[in-house]
Amino acid sequence: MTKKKILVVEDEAELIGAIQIRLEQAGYEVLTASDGQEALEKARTENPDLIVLDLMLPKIDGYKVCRMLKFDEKYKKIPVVMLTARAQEKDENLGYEVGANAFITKPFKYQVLLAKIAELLGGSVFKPL
Amino acid sequence: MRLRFKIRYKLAFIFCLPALLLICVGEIIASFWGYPPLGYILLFSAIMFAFLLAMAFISGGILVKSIKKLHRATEEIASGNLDCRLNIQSGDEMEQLADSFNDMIVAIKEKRGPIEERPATLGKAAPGRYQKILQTSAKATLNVLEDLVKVEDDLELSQQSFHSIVEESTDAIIIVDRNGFVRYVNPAAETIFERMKEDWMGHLFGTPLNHERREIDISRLKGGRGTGEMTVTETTWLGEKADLVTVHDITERKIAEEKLIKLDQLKTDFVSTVSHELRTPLTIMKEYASIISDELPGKLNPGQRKYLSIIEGNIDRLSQIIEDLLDISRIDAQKVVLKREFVDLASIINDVVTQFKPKTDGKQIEFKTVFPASLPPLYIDADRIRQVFTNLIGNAIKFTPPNGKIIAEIIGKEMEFECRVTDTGIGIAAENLDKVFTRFEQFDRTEGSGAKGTGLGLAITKALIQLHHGRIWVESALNEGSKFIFTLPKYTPATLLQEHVMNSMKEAAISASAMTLFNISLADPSKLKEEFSQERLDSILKEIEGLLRKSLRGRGDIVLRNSHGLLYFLVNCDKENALKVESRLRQKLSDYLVGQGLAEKVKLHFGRATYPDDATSAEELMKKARPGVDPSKA
Repeated sequence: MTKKKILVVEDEAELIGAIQIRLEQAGYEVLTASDGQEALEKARTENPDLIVLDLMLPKIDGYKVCRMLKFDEKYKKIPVVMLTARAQEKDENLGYEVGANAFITKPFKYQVLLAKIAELLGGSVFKPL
Repeated sequence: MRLRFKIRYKLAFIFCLPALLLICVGEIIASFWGYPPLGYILLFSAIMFAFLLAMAFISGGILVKSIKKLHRATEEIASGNLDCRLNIQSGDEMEQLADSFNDMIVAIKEKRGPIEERPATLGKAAPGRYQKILQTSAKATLNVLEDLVKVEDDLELSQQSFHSIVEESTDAIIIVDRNGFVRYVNPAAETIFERMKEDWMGHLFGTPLNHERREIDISRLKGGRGTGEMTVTETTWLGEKADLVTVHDITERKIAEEKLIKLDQLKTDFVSTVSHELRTPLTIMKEYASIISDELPGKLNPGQRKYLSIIEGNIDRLSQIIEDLLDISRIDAQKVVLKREFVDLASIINDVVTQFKPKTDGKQIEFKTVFPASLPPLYIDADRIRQVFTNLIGNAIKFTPPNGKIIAEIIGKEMEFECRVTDTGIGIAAENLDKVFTRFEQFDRTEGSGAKGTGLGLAITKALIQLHHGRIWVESALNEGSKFIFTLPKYTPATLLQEHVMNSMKEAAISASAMTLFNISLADPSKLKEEFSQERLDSILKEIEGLLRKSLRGRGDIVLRNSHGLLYFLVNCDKENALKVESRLRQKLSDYLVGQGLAEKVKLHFGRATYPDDATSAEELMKKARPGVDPSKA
């Protein structure tokens, strides 16, 4: 079984590093992007199985990235997990409105992130070590 | 008297003159005819002269007597006595005069008839009386005049005071006539509006006048703006109806108020921004610490593990402080929206107890939970109530010495559930009891183990309970322990539906928008019960509920399910959009039923009613939303 490909979009390089370690440890292949534009390019060229998307991004913000992908027939099936430090009701609503499949607020437990990813990829639910 | 003598002398003079003339002529004739003895002539002349003088005196006396009578009568008449008559029977011109005089009096009396009826005193008044009357009336007139002068002085005085009150008032006073034109302004109006009297008078006031105290914008002639509090009362101005407008300058108060609001907003924004900014580095620290702790980069020795756990503990503490600050700023900004659902409260408490188990075990604290035999699901925000229990139980553990006891219990009451967290800890002194729920209030609880908190926990807890329409209080005695008690209202799906419908209607009314109540039910439930088990039917309804929630998510809509297999949900949309929503949902649900192979057996009934188009009361709306009821006809 080939490894599932996950695109992690986050402008904090160190946070990407931490998420990458956890995802790779859980058996995923990880691609990274540090701004909205790069995220769109990588999503289109690499066609990942899932995208972990931060909302406050340079160039194009997370909401826009998500909406652009969800309006595109080719990419609308890619599940999007939104990751944000903004934990307000309206942010979450806006996230769902632009087509996000899950919404996780920082600081998050990596177990929660892994469980959400596993659920959305339809595979076996991740069980912590 | 003078009159009588005068006339007598005159008459004597008139009689004497011809007598002397006659004597002189007699003397001349006598001298011609030879003089008789001079003594005779002189004697004769003297006798003649004396006789004539006497005649003149007597006839003058008679004449004077008549005139005197006439004079008296005239005086009588002048005094108002028209009844007097002249009685002269001399048979000469005097008698004629007297008759004419009497006729005149009769004629006057006839003409003045009505006046005769005046008070007798006046009619009988003598000339002296006239003078008296005149004196009295002159005196009275003088008094009136004096009073008038005094009144005028008073008037001037009060006008002056009135003038100074109006002119020196710090509030603008403006008289506006019924056509909206300014008729008067006081100096304060000139100052407040920075507009000279000439720029006011005869100009339109401009601001609409209604008889309610309200705030108005003051736009000054030279630019610049202010705020005034305007009061309008009806008055009369120079005999015409007009409006009396007073404007109290509240510009400075307003500026101060706005500054305060801005400052408060700034504080809330600051707390929110800083907290968010802190979250990212904190997340990174937490992630790497947990990676090290999980020994992904390599094995840890006991020392490293111990110090790492201290780091992790303090990261958690910092996270908690940030979460508390964010919660308080959200509560202050009224941004906390509860996501309430029917949930099992007992399992929430059990979760929290399990979470704290390492701590209670470490301190040898006995932990007990007491729940009612049958506990229906409570309509609460599970995360928020978990937060409340975490807070209360966490505090109880912190302030209870080793070998103590903590009890968490739920007690069912008629209208609500009562939750209690009781400990055998250090307790709270009576004087501190009312400070417990105040933010940043940390009184002397040094005996408590563990790190200090933010002093926000119980303030947040109270706010969360209040958001749930509950109450919270504490009973405690020093060194005996504390008991925190809070209530949560009991909801049945029916009361809840009513509450939601009423709230949604209120919101729609405020925003002048529409709101639609949908109702979906299983068709032919008795037949379905033969076909499926109750559990299966429940799970189907639950699935449908989930589908509804998912497709309505993010629009502030609410889905409720009751035991009769009815689903209600509220959507903030008008009649036209409601139709679109319904067809979309019909499609989704039919897809689901087909997918599950249930399409043949399970049929759904749809009903809906829109406020304000179909109904204006909650009862009516719920009645008309029943499936099979046409809302426009029902």
